[in-house]
Amino acid sequence: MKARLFLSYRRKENKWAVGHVRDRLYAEFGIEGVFFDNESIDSGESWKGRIEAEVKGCSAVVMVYGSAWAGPLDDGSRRIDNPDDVVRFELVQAHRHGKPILPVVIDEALPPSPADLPADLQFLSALHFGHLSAAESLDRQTSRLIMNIRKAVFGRTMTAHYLTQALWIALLATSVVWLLRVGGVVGLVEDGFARTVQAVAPPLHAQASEQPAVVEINDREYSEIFGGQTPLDPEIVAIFFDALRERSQEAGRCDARAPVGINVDLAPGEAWADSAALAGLAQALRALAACRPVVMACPQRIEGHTGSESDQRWVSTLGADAKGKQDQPVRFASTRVDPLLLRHGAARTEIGAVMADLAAGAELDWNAPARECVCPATHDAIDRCTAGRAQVDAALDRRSLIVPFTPQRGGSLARAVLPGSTIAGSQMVVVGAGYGVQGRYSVPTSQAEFTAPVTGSMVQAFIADAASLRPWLQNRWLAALADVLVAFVTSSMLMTLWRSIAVNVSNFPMRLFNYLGVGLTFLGVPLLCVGVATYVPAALLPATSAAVVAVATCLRSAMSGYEVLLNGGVGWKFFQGAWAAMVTEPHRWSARTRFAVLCVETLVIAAGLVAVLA
Amino acid sequence: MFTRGFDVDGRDRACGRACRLAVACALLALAAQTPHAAPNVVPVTERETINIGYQNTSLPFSYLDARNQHVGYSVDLCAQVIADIERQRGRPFREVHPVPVSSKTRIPLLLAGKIDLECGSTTNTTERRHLGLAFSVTTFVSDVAVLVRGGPGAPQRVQDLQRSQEPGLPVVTTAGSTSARHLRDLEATLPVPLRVVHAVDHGESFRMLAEGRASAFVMDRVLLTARVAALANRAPGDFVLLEGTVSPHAVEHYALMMRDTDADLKQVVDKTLKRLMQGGEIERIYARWFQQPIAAPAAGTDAGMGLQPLTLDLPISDELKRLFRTPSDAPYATPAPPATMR
Repeated sequence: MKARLFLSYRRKENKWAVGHVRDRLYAEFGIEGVFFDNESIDSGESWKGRIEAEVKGCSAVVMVYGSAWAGPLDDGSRRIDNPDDVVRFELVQAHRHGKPILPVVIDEALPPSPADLPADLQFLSALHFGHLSAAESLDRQTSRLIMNIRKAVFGRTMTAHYLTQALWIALLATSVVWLLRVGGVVGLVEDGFARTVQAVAPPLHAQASEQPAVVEINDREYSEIFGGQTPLDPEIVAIFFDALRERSQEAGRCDARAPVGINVDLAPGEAWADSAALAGLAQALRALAACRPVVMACPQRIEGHTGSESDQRWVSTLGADAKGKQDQPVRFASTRVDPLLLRHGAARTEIGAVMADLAAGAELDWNAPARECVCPATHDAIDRCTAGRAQVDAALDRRSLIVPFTPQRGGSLARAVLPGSTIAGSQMVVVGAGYGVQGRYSVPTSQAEFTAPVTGSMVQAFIADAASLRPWLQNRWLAALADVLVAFVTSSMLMTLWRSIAVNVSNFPMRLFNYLGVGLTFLGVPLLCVGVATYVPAALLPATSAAVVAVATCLRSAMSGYEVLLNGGVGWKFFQGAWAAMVTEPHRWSARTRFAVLCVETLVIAAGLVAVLA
Repeated sequence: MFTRGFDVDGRDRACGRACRLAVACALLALAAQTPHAAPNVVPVTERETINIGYQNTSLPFSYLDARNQHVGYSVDLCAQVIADIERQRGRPFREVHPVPVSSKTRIPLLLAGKIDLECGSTTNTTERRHLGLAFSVTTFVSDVAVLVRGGPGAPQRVQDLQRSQEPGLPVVTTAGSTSARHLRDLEATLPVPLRVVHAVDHGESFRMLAEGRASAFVMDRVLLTARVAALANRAPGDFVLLEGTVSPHAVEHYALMMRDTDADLKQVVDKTLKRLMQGGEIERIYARWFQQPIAAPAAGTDAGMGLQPLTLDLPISDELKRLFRTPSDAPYATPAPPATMR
């Protein structure tokens, strides 16, 4: 819908004011969108007929009212009192056809009183008159006029205009965040956010009934049962995993969707390389894998790309290379934790994530070439995978995963295998090493250390919990959509606030506390994300992302708010309007700047889309 | 072997006391909250089959004789326990299944439910009780000694062990035994750490010493004494028990071992042993294994070491007599240091 405005004025009126209003209307609605008699009526044309037609077809009438509006004549009479007066004719016709009339008072003139108006123009006294004064910013005043015109002409379209801008801001903020994420900048912010959550949040017990059970060899077990020896004695380990299988069978958990994750490096090393005990352990693990899927830690030396022959034999004995030996080979997964794991589905190579996939019944392609680098068992494979692994290491900051997460189910290894134990009946069981654990969590490739008594098994259980109970969190499209939604809500609320301030500027002092309250509510969006992350640990990373997006949205919305307050309305335009403004008012730097910013923002949104796609 | 210890997630191994305490508290809280054993497990005493863990080479507590039968002091005690259980429930077990265990495997097998009662030479310790194990009243008391090969230059005292340790040769003990812990305590008092290896059972430990693959065998004195006494064709001075003990607090209270969740079994075991102790019958059983000739171990259990029937001639110690009079299932407690006089 295009606006068609009728500009009603007295020719003897203040020419600069009429000219300024005309130019702004031209810039805003185009020359063809404004009827200005001097330029729109051709010579010889019947002005009365044309004016009647234009008034009838226009969207609104802008009435410029100054000290000369009544048209005082030398004899003391007034033109406005003449029924054939053009200005009177225009306004009467507009009123007759129900057209919105927007009067603007110029300079110090006072709006007319009923006594100043002829009978058929008495309706004007009931209208609110805007002001245009050379003493104030003309840009700001005419922008308010334009906002009122839009409001009068478009009605609900006006709201749509605001919402469109809010959507634009949402897209822009989300794009910026995703681009910064690709560049690694947001990771730092998100890590900081996660640490903030850790600082303020108490340890929580997850409520999910199917939360993974965490079974850990504690210090006492390590000392008393395993003799404090590493690598762990395979003969002893075999006894426990055989018992874990028995407990699983008793609990009816022999199920392809009930994985066991072993977050302990069981690679036997040279000492046990060819022993009967090792064969016994392999047999026990295969038997467990035949009952329920087993996802094991890739040997540390292989992950460190210094794998020995014995470690490689260990992997090939139990791993995917064991095809033909059994239907369910033990799966090896990296123990490395990618903080972005839950936000992109491509790196599902960690124990917890693989467990979640298995629990969800996902079909994993274990023969995919990319999986070779999860646990490369040969020297050649290690060489091929080294470069890619280095990149993963560089992006690794597991501090963001140290969350206030206390597993509700689980216990020590001995307790887990006791006859009658129900721990093995959990859908997911993470077996790990709790011995020797300490609070300093070192971060690869960084000197930074983080203090938290969290074991690797708890981290893997957290990932498994988050990924399995909320698999949608891993979908990047949904994540991007959620980001846009958060940004849209935030920017809509902010735009509403700005608009309310702009419209009710005269009542600003009265509404100040209301505005402050609403403003504090907006600050609550990131805080709300903190709350979500606190009470739903699995949602930490999406909440973190949303918080960052919300902050970015607030920043961009603040810029829009400045424009709204300055100009009295939304100054944002699509390309056509922005281009028209720049053509009609090439001397105005703001028009050029707006057009340039619009172009840049468009490019940013396009790049953000590419970032999501990539 | 492992560049970063055993924690596969890249954490530093060094841990302060505070953080260890925090983790311990977290795990304890976890264990306390977790229903780890279902109440509907059939009690051992009500089952038709009971699995008894016996050691093959723990002379004279539990070992295989020439007929490949498990015999020994603890085996006899367990036989009395089983008889009492059967008498109490009014019917015999359909099967009493003997399961060979070693010092290394006895605890895992018990926790995993592979055996229900272990009858050997197992020390009652606080640490093991915290694992979920329960012990009967004490059946024997021993200290920890060091056995070396005799000959010129052989050490005479435990304190000389390190000085005289043959270059490149480790000290051996049996995996899963409390001696391993005592050795760690001993190491802490020495300026240079000992090199310690763990053999799979007592027979293998002794064989390593006899074959010159270890410089000393650290184990409970009674087991070392029995091992040397059983050697055929030995010359006096081939093996020497060093003077002194590894630690004055290395006092081993042997007991029968079971799971702490099997309260009914523990009740019957203690009741039986107390009956034997208070009736004096346990002294007759003791005399049979420690003061009278006993059967030679099976040849296959010591890889041709040539074991023979033997007599240990080991009288009941005063401490054991006291414990027979006042049975207790408490582990040995390190005496509190005397109060400082000012």
